[in-house]
Amino acid sequence: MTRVDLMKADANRESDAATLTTELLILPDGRILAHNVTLAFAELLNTLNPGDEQIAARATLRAATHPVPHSHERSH
Amino acid sequence: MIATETHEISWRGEGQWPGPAGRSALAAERAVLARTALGNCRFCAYHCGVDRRVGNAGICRAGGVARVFSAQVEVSDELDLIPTFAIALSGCDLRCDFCITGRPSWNAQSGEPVDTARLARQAEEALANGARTIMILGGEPTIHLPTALEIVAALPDWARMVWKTNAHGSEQARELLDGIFDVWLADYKFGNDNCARRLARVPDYTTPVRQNLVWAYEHSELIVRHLLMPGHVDCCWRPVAQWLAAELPGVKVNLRSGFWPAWRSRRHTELRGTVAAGERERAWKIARDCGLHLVK
Repeated sequence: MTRVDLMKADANRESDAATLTTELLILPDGRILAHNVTLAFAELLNTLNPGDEQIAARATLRAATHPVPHSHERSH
Repeated sequence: MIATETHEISWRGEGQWPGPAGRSALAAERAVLARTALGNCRFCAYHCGVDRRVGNAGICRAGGVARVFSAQVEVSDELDLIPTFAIALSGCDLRCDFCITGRPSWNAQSGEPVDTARLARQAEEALANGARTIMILGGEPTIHLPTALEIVAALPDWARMVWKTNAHGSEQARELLDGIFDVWLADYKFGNDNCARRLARVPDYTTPVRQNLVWAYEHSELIVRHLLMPGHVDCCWRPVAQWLAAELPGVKVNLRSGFWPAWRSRRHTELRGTVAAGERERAWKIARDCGLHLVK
């Protein structure tokens, strides 16, 4: 894709303003590191590993909270 | 604690001195002072003294316009603070090679120009939907004091505000922030200046950071974070833990053990991997031996 196409693709993603940003690193020993964890991602991680107390404490917050759309896209 | 009473502020800069005010009004008044202070920027411990209003940039390379690279509800932070609506401003005065948000943190031009009204609407919506705090972070938000204060000024006084910082700010910054944030979430990254210089290019790290931590301990609710790094238990974590135990008794400490070899960590041999189990265990033992008040 040319740079112009990429920029158009990004512009089209404005309608996808609800996209939230979390990063995940899976280590060879099976550990999972995550940062900027959103509620939805905490729930996903809790499903994958319900024994993790740190994640479980965060995943249960969904009941009282709704996500806010992420409306700041990163520039290139 | 939300500051609604009158505050004595020892500001010695330009402009009228503010009278009695609620927190949002106080922040609005401080924001005006901070905008003026951009003309001789000394918000961080580098004291560059450049005029950022006309585009001149100091070490942080930030101009007069703050940009935001992320604004979302997150649950990664301390349990007492989450869910939090986290507003991340681009740019930083430090250059940590292991920065987890390296690209926007090192580049003050990342993201979009801050739209204070829009951020405030999003933050209030998050609060209405159950978010417990509003967090302003970076990069390093200290370099964007005018904008940070303007954001606070646009939010209700009852919102619980968190200031997430590298604790490398100046006395001027502390004066402008006095009484504004309910919680300071401050990093104490390095236990000695040699590691700070090698890993983050900071020539004088310990003195300003300790000054900020002592101040925050006395003026706000303080949570100190230390990111445990591979190979840095004895040179960094041990002295940090010992100092916290001696100088800030009972302070909340979050020992973060999930080091992520991000950004330019590979420049340093010891930072190319994660923290080994043995190192984590030693670190926890140091924390216990020091009697630290650990939080998650």
